[in-house]
Amino acid sequence: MTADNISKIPLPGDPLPPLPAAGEIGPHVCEIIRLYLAVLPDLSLTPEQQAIIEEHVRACAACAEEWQLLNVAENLIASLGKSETVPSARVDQAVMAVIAMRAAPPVPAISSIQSAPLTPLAPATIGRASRQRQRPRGSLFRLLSQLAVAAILLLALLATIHFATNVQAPSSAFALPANLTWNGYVLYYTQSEVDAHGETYEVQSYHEISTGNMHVEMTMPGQMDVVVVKVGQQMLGEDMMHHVAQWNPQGWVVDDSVFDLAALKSELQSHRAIYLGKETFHGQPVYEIRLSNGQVLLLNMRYQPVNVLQSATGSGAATPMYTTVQLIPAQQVPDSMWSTQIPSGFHMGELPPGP
Amino acid sequence: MASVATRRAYASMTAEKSMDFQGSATGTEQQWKGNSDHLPAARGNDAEALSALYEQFRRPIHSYIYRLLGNVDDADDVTQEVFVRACLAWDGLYERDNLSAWLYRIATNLCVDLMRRRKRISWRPLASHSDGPIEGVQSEDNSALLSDSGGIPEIAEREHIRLALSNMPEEYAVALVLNAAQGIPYQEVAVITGISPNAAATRISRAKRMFVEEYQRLNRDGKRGNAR
Repeated sequence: MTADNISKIPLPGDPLPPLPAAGEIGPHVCEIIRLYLAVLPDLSLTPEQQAIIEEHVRACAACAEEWQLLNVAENLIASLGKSETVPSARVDQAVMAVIAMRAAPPVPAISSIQSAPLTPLAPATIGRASRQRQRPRGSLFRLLSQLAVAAILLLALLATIHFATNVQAPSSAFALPANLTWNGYVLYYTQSEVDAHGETYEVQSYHEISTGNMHVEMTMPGQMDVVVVKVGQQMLGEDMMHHVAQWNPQGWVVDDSVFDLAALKSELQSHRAIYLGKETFHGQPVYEIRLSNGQVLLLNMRYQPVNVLQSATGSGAATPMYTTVQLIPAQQVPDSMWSTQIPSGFHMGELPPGP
Repeated sequence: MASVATRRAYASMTAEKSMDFQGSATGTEQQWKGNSDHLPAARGNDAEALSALYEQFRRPIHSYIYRLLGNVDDADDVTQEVFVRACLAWDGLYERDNLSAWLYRIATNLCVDLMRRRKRISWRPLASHSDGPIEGVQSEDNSALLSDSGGIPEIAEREHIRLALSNMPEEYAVALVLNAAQGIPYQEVAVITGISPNAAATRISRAKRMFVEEYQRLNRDGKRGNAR
């Protein structure tokens, strides 16, 4: 087999462009040779193919330089590989606990949930010959059953605590300090939300109180990562996964009006909001204020928001709506958070519909 | 020019570093692939299969995440998340021929999310208003550790490499670490990142160039900083 005829055939299992013929020159030849050089350790080359590449690199100063550069990169990165790390004991324990929980026997009391539809995490698509098979899903149901039992017990406990504290709650006079302001702070919060398809996504929001500027990121690992920056009336949406930007995209605005201090003052003055009393939330003392929409706003002893409890249901249970709520001094948040400059590499287009 | 044979010997070395999940260490795709056939999955015992899966992949996945994120605590958190997700998705997983690619894909998605978040948010510490780094957040201040700055050379060099990696676009850093540090061939990098093999090769090629440019830039900046 000659170098000429092998060069026209793509390498089996290596869908790179075919190697150029020996002695062929031109920019396209360099381009192909460099591609081969970059992944050379992964290729199974015949001696003839190796000879074509070596001959080209000997004759082409630019490709020789590229070859050196690639070697430098590979050696440097490979040096990271010398240090192998292992997960800590707590990770081992947590993973083994999840595996053990899957294998635990089902809980009969709520076995009825086994008929509920499942939405397991989408596994990676693996491009190999697939084995289509139906597997029993009992283990996952068992896991869900146990999680559901735990959730019910927790809700019951919360409900009990909530009722008990409500009974004792003083309705004594409560007023926010007259000079209270959250200006100079950025309201930061994170929360898990559920979209129209029942999929959970994470929201991370920064809201500069004094200006109303917002920076919100909504993510669903592997499926969605959208950042919305709102400055004044202008809003820029950025699809971080597809590098698409859009002005004023629809359906991507989050509502955090529950943290509007002026509205809170107004509701308290007009008695539409009711002070429920002092409570302890996640180890810290908080003031509980029931708003006109039924939600309960929690403020710390410095009158800063801590969380919001969802409207109590018939069972009396009230659950926190946010994972984290924090006021951060505005000077600690970089101005770049409010930048509505379109990032380099992004093109204008249309964002997918909001969740 | 170093011969192609020299390069192939090097490839074997990189593969060897990941011996525990490659089976053998000749550096080819065939040897790299996860040995899912040896998992008890084939025998239908899920708990046993998942335990074996964890035992087989805990080190390479943790190392991969650590190499990308450069922080042990983050690597622990993300590793835990990877395997918990794997456990939850296990029953719905019909294709089990390439579990390593599946796990790497979950890990990659989680790492990329975290890296993007880090890049957008660089907090200044509460205690002072200096520009120093806080735990888990890459910062330009790491350049103080560069090898030419008089720090411990090996640690400084590793920090230098990590800083160069963290300054690259995430998808390029991922491709580079998978290929050059984990010893995963470009064809498998394509499977993990969901692109064509040709695109994966192109991405690795560009990533190597980008990395060296960034590394050299940091070197120059470090020297300039020392000269001042």
